[in-house]
Amino acid sequence: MKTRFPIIRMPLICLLLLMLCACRQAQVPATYGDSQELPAIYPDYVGVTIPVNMAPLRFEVMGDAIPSEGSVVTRFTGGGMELVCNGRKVMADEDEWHALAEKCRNGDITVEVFEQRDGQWTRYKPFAIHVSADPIDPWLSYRLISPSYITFEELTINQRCLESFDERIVYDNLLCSTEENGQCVNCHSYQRGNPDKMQFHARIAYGGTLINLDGKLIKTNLKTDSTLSAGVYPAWHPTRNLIAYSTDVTRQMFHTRDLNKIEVFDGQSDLILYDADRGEVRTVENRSDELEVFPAWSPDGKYLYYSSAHYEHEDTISAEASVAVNYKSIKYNIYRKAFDELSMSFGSRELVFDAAALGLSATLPRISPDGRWLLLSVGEWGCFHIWHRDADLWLVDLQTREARSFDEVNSPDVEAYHTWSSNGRWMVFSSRRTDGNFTRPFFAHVDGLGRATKPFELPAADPDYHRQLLKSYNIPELMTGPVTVSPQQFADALKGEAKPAAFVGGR
Amino acid sequence: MIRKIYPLLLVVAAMIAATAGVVLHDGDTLFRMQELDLFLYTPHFLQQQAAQAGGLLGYVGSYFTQFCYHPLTGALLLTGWAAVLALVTWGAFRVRATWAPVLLVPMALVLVASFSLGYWIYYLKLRGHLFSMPIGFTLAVALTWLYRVAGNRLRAVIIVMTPVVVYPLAGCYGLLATVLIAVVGWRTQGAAVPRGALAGAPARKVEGRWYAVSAVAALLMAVAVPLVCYRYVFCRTAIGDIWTAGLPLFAVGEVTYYARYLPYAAMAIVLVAMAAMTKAQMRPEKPGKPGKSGKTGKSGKSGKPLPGWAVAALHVAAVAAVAWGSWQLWYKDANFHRELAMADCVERCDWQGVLDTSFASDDEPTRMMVMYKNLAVFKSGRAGSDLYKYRDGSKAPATEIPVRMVQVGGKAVYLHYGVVNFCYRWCMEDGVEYGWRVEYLKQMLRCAVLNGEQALARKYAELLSHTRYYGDWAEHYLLLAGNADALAQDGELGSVVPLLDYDDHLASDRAFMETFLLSELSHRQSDHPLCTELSLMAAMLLKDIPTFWPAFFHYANTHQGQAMPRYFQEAALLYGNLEHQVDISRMPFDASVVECYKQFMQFAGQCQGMNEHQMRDAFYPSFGDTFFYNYYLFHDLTTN
Repeated sequence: MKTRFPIIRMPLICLLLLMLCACRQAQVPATYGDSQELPAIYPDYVGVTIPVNMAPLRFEVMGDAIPSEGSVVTRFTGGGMELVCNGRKVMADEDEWHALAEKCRNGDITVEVFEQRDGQWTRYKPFAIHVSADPIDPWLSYRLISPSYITFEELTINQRCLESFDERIVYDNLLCSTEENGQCVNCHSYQRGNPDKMQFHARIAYGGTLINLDGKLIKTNLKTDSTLSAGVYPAWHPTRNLIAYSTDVTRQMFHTRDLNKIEVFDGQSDLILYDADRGEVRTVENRSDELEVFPAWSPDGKYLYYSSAHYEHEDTISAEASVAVNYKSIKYNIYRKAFDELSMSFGSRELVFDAAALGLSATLPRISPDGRWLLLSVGEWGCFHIWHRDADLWLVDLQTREARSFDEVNSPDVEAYHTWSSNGRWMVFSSRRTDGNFTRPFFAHVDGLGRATKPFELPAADPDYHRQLLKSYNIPELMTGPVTVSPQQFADALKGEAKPAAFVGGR
Repeated sequence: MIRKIYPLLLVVAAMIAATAGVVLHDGDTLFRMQELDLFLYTPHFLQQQAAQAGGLLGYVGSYFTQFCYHPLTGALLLTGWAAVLALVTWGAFRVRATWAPVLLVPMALVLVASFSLGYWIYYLKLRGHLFSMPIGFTLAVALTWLYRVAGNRLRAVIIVMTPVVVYPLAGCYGLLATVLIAVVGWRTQGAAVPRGALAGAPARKVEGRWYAVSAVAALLMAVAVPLVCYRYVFCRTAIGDIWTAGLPLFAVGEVTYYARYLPYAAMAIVLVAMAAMTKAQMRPEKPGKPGKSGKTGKSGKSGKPLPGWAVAALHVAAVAAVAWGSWQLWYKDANFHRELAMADCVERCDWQGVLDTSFASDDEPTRMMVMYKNLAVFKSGRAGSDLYKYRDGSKAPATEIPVRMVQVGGKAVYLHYGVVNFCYRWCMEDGVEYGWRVEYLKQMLRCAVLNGEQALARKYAELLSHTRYYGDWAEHYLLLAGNADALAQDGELGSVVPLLDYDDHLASDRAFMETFLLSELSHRQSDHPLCTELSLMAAMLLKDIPTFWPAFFHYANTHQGQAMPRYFQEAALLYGNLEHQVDISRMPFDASVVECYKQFMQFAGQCQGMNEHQMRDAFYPSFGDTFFYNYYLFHDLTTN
């Protein structure tokens, strides 16, 4: 029988074979000199610790003296296995990487980079990649957004399998946008990383909050006559269909000279609780002299943590104008309130971390699944630390209330949005450390004593991808699986009418 | 022989003429359009484009647009594509030599669509806009041609595959191809399939029913395929836009300018009409002697043919009509081209070039031209002596859309005045809104270098290194990043460095660049002589007396021992006499300045009863280059 498309098929097969064998064909040079310098690689994976199930750490060997692709050879060894890759872009095969990582569980993968210059091979100082037996949740979701200030065109909420390079779109705002009426989507959130319990907001065109309850899509309007705004920053109760939100009147202005470039602040903000089963909203906290924001539940659902800044508005100007003038004086502390599920009521607030006393401002409380560690983003002022270069992660031991700057993971640039893995051994956070403008997700292992390892950047299929990408990873959230509702299904639901939430009082 | 290739000769002649016209009249537009587009030689860029219906067409369009860096090359490529469209139309629809001038209509529509844009070039969102149209229509007609010459089996494949394959790649042009195929199929039912079909099928009569079914199937596919793609393939297009994927978006703010789609609609109508007339143009085939494709002949209708001279006259008239019509629809605003020339000079720091362009204009300038001119005067170090030697004004840009200066040349103006964050901000905002462009990446690289953001500078430089023409340019700036000495010595950015010496504060321009900029610059508190000169110039332009005096004294303090330039004296003399808030009695004004002021006031007394415009004309010959003239007679300027 004749083959139908031999002309097309043969080169394709050859190409595939070449790609598959790229690593196998590479050979480590027989003779070489040793250098005491570590190789310059991007992303910086030298000495990092990775979960055993992480996708291959692909990187690019930097430097300006690389005459050709073939002049760099990289060898990964460990557990009696060897993986050799050719070229400036070190792109290990997924299956081989996973086999290697499995063999090196609780051990090291040794990485040797060989470079040929003027016919002589040099081996850079080998480095290790530590493989932790603690797995990480297999999926990560994030919003991809250009770090613009006012405009937005295409916004997507994406999900990425951390065990491979499979990236999918959860929702793309262009499915609903029209030129006359754009749509902003934001604040995707899950109940303890469960992809079947998800919510996100849509603003402007087809606005509302879309909640996915095990495949049932509910579009709701959380703005009531008794609340400042619709829900903004969400926090799912760990076991019930309750979502705490802040309500915010947010403004932004631009720095004329400062490298932070933009200042985002809340003129007013409160906290509400939404009961998704009943469609009811109630007030959690709405003190006129406090700016409450960023709710977060304790793992047992008995406490609601949040940030709050004391601020007394001047009478002569609007609240927003007043905050704009005094923005550097606004310092957020971390509080918590006990929550009674039966009565759906909250206790009085309790100060957890007095950042203001240190001259600092603490935001985005996130409690580890074991309930012991409180992870924060801390800067000199304000609540929008993603634009504050001084913002660092801090760790508070909830047993002793001791707080410290999480120096193991911090950089001179922004560290802001952070999440714990479901087993509490990994954290993911946003950082602008790569270039100062575009946030990328970084992962770090945290042990039982609250010690973290050197963070590593989300590996990409092409190590150059993040340097070419003109978008930021916004709100990285770990998930136990992929979201299965299609973008079009979300769009269909968003095009429907939003059901108004009923306000049922407060506290 | 000549008759046979006459359409080809006509199209080639038209292409040569069009190339000359484009290069001479719109070479600057072509260059600017490639600056406002982006093509990166990276897989990631291709993936981004391919993620939406019609995206590959934009990718190919961008590929060709980059060559407009050399306007002659760009013009040749564009007119070349228009010519290819005409020739493919000739082949697909068997246009006879008698009708050859009709082939110039698609060419003309391509050129009109490309060069009637004017200020729209700043607001286009479709990547590769310039070439998408000719390539898209060429693809549609070429597929129709392929269908015509194919055998039955291949025709069935083409009907199915055109929407399925071409729609994802070329968007609505794939649907147009499907429609054209349906029309051709309908009109040629019962006609002979020509010999030489690609599938090698022998010429034979085909059942009319087969054609009807295939035509209906093609139309159904054109409706269904976008729906399937919306639901299962792409997720970057709203359902209301899936049948127009690949078309440009002529919308600014909340208004869509549907008239801009007329060239596209006209082209589609012309092509469908040609397809509908296909049968009438086909030469009857003799049984047993299949038709020779491409051979022209008589229509088969009875009637006396026109004499040769009459046909020639009609052709000349038709060509002239097409050329005249195209020229009527061509965008020819002189200020638009002056702005392009000035922008190019600013890009090259050719400040004298900016001033020469301003000086050569005898028309009222747009505000953008005035902003460029003010910048050039300052950069030339002649703010105090030359600022008012050029025409002032605020002529509205000749376009139906609201034009914001920040989206035209404002980013460069911000950068050169040292308002780096706002340059960066608008590059980012517009990059998000209109897609990433070479211009934005270049400006953002400059901003990063000036801000000392080395890693960020490297990012933009690396992106530019993936372009065809800007890699070396980017490399130069990368060498400046983190090297303060080299930066200070740089011919372009070195002059911006001293202007960065000011305190940070929160502000917003609300897209009103000029008022924001003048307010910011006039209140800067730097002691650098260049900054104080800039502050004083801005204060004068603001015409705000309380702002002027602190800037004036600050300038005087930082320029001790130097002569006070003429315009600064004029402003001080006028303001001192106007409000008597500052004692100017001991200021050493030049006698010529005082005399000019006296003459101005005397003349003003003689012009009682005139309105502002009449006074402008009356004062201009004697006082047109004075601050007094500008202060008193330009109150109705509009800016943003």
